[in-house]
Amino acid sequence: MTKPKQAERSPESLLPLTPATFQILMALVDGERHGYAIMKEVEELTEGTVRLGAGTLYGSLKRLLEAGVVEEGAECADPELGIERRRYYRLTRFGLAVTRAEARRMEAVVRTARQKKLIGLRAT
Amino acid sequence: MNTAERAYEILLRAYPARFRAKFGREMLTVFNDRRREMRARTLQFWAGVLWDVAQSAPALQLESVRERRGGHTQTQGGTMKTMAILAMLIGTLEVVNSMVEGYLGGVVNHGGASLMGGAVGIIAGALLFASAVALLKGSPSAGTLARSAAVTCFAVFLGVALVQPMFSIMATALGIGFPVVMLLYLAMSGSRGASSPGMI
Repeated sequence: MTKPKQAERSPESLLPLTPATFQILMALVDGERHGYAIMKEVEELTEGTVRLGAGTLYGSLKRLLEAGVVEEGAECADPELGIERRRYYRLTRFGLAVTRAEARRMEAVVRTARQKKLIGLRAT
Repeated sequence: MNTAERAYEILLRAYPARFRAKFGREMLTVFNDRRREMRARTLQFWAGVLWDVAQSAPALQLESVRERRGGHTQTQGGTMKTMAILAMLIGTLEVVNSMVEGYLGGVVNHGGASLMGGAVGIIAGALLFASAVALLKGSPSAGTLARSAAVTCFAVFLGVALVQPMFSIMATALGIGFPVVMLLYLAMSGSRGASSPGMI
């Protein structure tokens, strides 16, 4: 898989992200994880409202790898899940910038929704 | 390998071979993790698996076809340019031919159907020409315009072929055949316009 030249692209050029992609990136913000750990983290982050299937997860990871947003880490066993070797994935620096850019975009959307009183006012 | 794993391996064949080669083993591992977690809810688990495959495999297959047929932007741009030039030439031909047919059949021989056929043929040809210009300019709405022009052209010349069999055979065949090729090409290349953001 060829990685695109990141210097030529701004993180904003990949926005908006699909909801599944954004959740995967959010799951990787705290550090590298293997596929099943990403699934569990997404479920936890979204309080069970988003349950990724293997096809959706690895389809997204394929695109993220190609876009240089995510990179492959080591392949090793997860002691909590047994002896099977698992591939770990982590955010690249560009990937972190993309995740930040998407979070800022969503923040702006939420701000507008608040201004229009579609959702509650921020508690300070 | 147990029955559930074998069944999932069969489902994995819905994904492109290269994708399977890279992620197939990991997907099987995740499948087993999820199966252990949902042991008591077999029906719900398999419904989820089938839904996931149905949702993700077609998109990945389409991506794979796109990568094979024109993964490099340069190649894709070149093919798009060729398609646009063809659309321009065929559009021009259809306009000129429809004017001649409309004039000869409609004005000279007072055939109402010929006149109507000529008029709609001119519109279809002009639409094809306009979509070609938009494709060459790479305007954001080029894909939509090209699709609309292709559908209109196809419908018009199919109608003309049924109502007015005396209409030029070559113009009618091109008017029906080229839009089909164009629609297939647009579906394969997934043209969303040059300025569309890259959705991942």
